[in-house]
Amino acid sequence: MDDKEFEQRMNLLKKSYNRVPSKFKADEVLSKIEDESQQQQYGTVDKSVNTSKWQKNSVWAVSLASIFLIGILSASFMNDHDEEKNSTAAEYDQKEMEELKKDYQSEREKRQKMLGLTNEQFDHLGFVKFADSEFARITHPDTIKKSTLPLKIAYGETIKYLLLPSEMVTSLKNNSPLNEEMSTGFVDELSSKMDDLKMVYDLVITKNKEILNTAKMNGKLDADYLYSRRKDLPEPVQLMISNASQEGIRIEVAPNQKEFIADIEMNDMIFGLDGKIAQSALNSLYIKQMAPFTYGGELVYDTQESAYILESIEYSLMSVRQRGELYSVIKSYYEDLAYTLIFGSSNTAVFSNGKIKEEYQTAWNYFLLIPSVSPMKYYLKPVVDSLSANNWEVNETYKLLDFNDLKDAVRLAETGELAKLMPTEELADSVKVVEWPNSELHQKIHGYLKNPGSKNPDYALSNLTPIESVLLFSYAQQSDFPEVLLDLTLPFQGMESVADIQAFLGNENILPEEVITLMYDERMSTSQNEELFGMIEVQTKETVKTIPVVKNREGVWQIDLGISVTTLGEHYYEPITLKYTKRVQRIYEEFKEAYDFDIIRSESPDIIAGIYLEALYSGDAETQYALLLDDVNYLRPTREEFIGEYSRSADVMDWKTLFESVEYQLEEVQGDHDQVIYFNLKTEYQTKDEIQKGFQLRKTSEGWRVHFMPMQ
Amino acid sequence: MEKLELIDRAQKGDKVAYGELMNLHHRTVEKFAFQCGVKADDVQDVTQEVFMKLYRFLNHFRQDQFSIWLYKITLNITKDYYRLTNREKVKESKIQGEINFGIPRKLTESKILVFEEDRVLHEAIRALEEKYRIPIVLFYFQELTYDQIGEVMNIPLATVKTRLLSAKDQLNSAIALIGGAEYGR
Repeated sequence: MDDKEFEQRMNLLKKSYNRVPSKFKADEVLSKIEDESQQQQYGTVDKSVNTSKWQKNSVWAVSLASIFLIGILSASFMNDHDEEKNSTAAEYDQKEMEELKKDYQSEREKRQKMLGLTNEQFDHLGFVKFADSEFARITHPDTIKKSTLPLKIAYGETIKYLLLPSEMVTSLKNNSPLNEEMSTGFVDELSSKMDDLKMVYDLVITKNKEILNTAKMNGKLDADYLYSRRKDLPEPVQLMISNASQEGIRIEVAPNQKEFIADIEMNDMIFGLDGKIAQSALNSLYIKQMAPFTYGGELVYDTQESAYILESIEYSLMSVRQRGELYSVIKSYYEDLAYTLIFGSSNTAVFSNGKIKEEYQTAWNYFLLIPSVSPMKYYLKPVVDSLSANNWEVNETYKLLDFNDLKDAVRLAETGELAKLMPTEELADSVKVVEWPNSELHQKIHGYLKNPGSKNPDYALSNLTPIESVLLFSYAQQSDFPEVLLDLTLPFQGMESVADIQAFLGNENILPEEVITLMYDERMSTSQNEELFGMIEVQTKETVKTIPVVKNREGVWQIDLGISVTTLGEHYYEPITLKYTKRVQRIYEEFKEAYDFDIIRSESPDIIAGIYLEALYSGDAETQYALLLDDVNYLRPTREEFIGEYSRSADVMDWKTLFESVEYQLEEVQGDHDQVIYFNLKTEYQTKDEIQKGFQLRKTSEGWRVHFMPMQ
Repeated sequence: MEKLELIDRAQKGDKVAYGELMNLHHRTVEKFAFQCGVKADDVQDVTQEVFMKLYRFLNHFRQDQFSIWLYKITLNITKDYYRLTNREKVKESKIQGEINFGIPRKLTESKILVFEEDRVLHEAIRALEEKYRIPIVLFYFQELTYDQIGEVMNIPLATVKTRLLSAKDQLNSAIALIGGAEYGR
């Protein structure tokens, strides 16, 4: 069939489509919209009148209502209703209604049995109360009379409200992954049901507190001991212990060590949800599981750990696009934790003798190292600058610090406005590259060797950069200056003397005797116990040697002799973990601020590809364009063409969810050359024809660049 | 009243204006849903669902993007529909066997696709992978430009073009295989 014939046939078919029947009635849709808004109002009333101790449950139930009501309407055709959809609710006779009630009761009893709860306890669960009220509403004669939604469909939705967390997770197993909006709804529902369960289990614990508090080892409450002697406990406790874990709840000792509590521990659930819901939603569950972060106003984790956690929570909040109920909960964790970390508590001050405690100095400084848009960094930078210039003595800047400013910064970050206000940094300075041999540096290193152990401050080892320390170490090896080797070696067991070091290294110099490039990326360093951990990459034509370095408390960069070597041409494989994606996102955030190519000059092709995919997922056509190969020999649209064709995409799947790893051959080809790297699809996204996606890049003298339409 | 004015009023909560908008656009949705593979008997449900969802999204898009959003939402809902009907097909075939399956649908659809030639082409389009099916439908039956198709599907212009070409090739091969070209009108 030629083109003309094809067009004709398509035109004829198009005309036939005019016969598609229409029974559409705009009034029916308007009436449903009206119903929906009334149902939402109904939920609000429920919330306002409930003042019992179960109020918290009801609040959650109300929030669930809004999600579920949308669910009813948006998924109305997603039920097994082909047969029933034409039989409206009004056609239900008394007998059928009785059967429906019986069926509902049986569904209810099934869940009650699965949880091992008494009638009273089960009735108190927020999601059960909500399901009950929904069931009463949909079977009420007035609703049946007015509703255009077939009763069986409404009933199917009501039963979904009764699903336990474990059932919700299982239900996703054989279905397609949820998009971000649906994932948000899903984790909100899951989280709220778990809160309901936790609350009921806490009541069981309170009721049986006396006997539970006998579960002690060495005078202290012990959860493992409690689990091991569950058979001796009253039946309700036995049932709770047996069933709670299925629903992601474990009985633990409270942070005050005085009682047991029900705590959320959903490792298995999170594992089951991996790949089925959006990463941002999964992160929310991780955070929920780690909570609480403060207890009675005190930090639950130590100061530095709390700082790491706060950074992770902030990162998670910043990457959420669909904000649901759990987002608000996590934001409240964030605010509590930030407040305690900055202002301390009634029992724990952040300063002593008028000076900020060292642990807080380290924690606050940590936030200043965040390379991306960060409310904490924005908020703390002026005060940290002022305090550190004042020997960390408490000053007016700290005293006048207003916590509301942090909340404002978060709001600005949510609207995307904070990026413009973030303090500018010398980003290019974060990556140091040295070509060796290098006569200028050679002179400097030589000066150090001529003055070993000199008291002259010009030759203090703490003046050396990490790269210079490595060069000095190598030169000291070559020229046999054992004391310098000892000073520059990270001390650890079995490596305390010069003899140990020499025995360990043998005749091999830590640096190859040829032209090399040494690189240190400050952003890759991490601080712990007032020491800074980083690494130097030493590249030759055939190999990349990685030398770990540590800046000790005296400010001297020491060499950790656990050196590794990768031969170029080897296969590179990187699993796409949270750590990896975080690194990509950080570099992406830095790069997109001003498109400073020095930031990405030394990055590997997988990182450049990752930045491109992150920009694609974020609908950031500018950054995608900036990364494109700019070479007259290769196709590249104009900026306007490119930007015009791209828009914020709700349908582009998150690469962090889609792929499980990236791999490619490490090549060492002189000059510019092309390279294809491969992103391996997670099993659930693989088809019989496609298990990985290739991504085309080109190595240029300025670093890696992306070919136009790299994944076609 | 101008369409943009109607959208503006609807965005401000005027349900009468939204009713008028629905009356203006429901045929587009009905036909597009059917062209995408929704069974004729289910077109009405899908159309209602589209307008329910569109109402919730009314304030999320610019007025000049109304049509693009209408297509985007219809597309999303038909995707869900596909997932469900595929699941149901398996279930129904298990329960009833294949004998009775689909008779009512075929009766209704035969009233739309009167000619065998149309039915063959329609089925061939339905059988295309989604990424090829949608550009074909949007281009030939909804008369969207390449740019608009790109916007609806969130794909670049060049991809739209390559997919359309590929879809045409696949359709030609499929029709030749079935022998549909032999049927006359």
